[in-house]
This record gives sequence, C-alpha cells and structure tokens, in this order.
Amino acid sequence: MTRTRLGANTSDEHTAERTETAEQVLDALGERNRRRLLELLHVQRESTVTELVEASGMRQPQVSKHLKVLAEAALVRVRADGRHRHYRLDGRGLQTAHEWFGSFDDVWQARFDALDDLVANDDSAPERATPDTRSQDPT
Amino acid sequence: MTSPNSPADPSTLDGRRATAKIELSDDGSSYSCVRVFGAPPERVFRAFTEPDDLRVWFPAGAPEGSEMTTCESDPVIGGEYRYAMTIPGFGSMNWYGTYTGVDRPTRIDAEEWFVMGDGEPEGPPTRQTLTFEPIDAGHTLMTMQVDMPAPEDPETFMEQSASGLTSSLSTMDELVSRSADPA
Repeated sequence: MTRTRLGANTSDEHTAERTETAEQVLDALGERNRRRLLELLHVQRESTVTELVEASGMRQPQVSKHLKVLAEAALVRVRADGRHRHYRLDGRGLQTAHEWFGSFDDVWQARFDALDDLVANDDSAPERATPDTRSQDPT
Repeated sequence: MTSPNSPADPSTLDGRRATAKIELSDDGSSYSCVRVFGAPPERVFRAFTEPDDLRVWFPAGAPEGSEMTTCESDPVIGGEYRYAMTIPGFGSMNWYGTYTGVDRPTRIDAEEWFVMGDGEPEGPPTRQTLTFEPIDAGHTLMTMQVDMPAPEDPETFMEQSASGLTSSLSTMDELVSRSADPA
C-alpha cells in the first residue's frame, strides 16, 4: 500500500483524497494542547473556534494554529456556515496512522513469535546445563 | 500426560503462543508482558541482549520494508544498547538504552529512551525489567514490565515511547470513532 505525501492543496476540506501522512498525524497527536482540543471536540461534537477558546482556556491564535495542524492531519474537519467555522472530529487521520503502525500488542506478539522461532529451533547452542553442573569429559 | 496437540502444552509453538499476555495499564503509563519460550533462560537472555539475535526478531511487527540499521548491545551493568530502524515512508526510530541491572541469565533492568527521527534522547527514561525463569524441561517463562515516564514535556512524550504512542492512538481512536461521521 503506498502512502501519499502531503499534497499542495490542503485547503479543500471536503476532498476525498487523503493527503495526510502517518508522520503528520503522529506529530499532530504528539502535542498535549492538540490532544486537549480533540477531547473537547469529542465532548461537544461540533464547536466554533470561539467555543474552543472558552472551553480550553487557550488564546485564540493558539487554538487556530492547532486546528490548522489537526485539519491538515485529517483529525478534524470543518464546516463553514456564514461567518462561523464549525469543527468536528474526523477519523481519517487516525485510520492513516493505524494502517502504518501496527497495534501495540500486535507488535509485541510478532516479536515474541519471532524470538521463540529463533531460540526454540536453535540446536547449535551448547548449553543445556548451567556451567556449574556441566560435567567434564573424561579424557 | 498432556497430549502433544493440546494448546496449553508449552512444548509446542501454539502452546507457547497461548501463554502470551500483554497488558497495558488503564492510564497507558505502563505495560507488562508474559510469554513462555522454547529454550532455557541462558538462550533467551542471549536473544534479548546479543545483536545477531536482536536483528532477527526485533523488527517483527514493523511496517513492511522496515530495516534495522543499527544494533549494538553491551549487557553489563552500566553498559549501553542502541537500536535504529528505518521505516519506509516515515523515517527512523531510535532506541537508546542503559543496562542498570544484569543478573545473567535471570534478570535485566534497563533505562531506555525512544526517539523518532534524528535527535538526541532527552527527558526521563522508560524503565524496564525482564525476568527469565526456567520452567518445565528446557523452557523459559519471561516477564517484562515497562514503566513509561509521566508526560512532563508533552512535545517529547510521544517520542519517548512507541508503546505510549500506540496507546495514545488507541485512546484517540476510541474518541474519534465514537464521534466521527461516516465518510
């Protein structure tokens, strides 16, 4: 599966084509204030910038800046209604990240299976007894 | 005598796979793993600490095309380990570790920093403990406990632990899937 890189056109919020990369999504999620905004949008379902400023306690330029990053990572989507822009959560960004990065326990399960495969089939190792119980060859 | 085809039989691969338990704490700040391996503790200890072995199993589960470009390990108290993996389309993941306790072949303690991309490790480390206990004939019960640091610095917290990152992804996934419109 190929990954699309960030396209030049990210201003069309309704585009069906995914332009966000997994790295963008992970960077977007890696900032505590952006995670806070996602949590607020989860509770409120849809909010304007002003509502998010009030609910979060952040300043308006900061909220706008974070929302832009979240929108470019397809973690939020925007609906324009007259003078107001209404933000809501968008699952596409997370889908991108999940496709790239296997789930936490899948990674460990895979590692343990590979490790077991390595050690359980290793007939070349000399140690079947600990050194202090290994008996000397009589010569 | 247990049937050799029993799923609980640790002498079979399926039996050992069935022993795996991986649990993430509710707050995502720690996780524990348990697994039986089909070799004695000394062999399993080596698999966790020798580069030739690590290169074989550590990349498992990473995106296809991933490659381990660096793998070094000095499993003594105060010794360090360093892994680097390049992920196609993403960049590099880097692990920097220091062994703080080594009791061969029974136990390993380490502090570890995880860095996405280039950059120096910073902030508090993840603390890990691995134990290897002989069980049955020639098998090992491994336990792994990993404690991740509190997010003092939100900008670097996500970089400090791939597991922390994935746990946050899971949390966000839950939030978003309950709210997002179907496309």
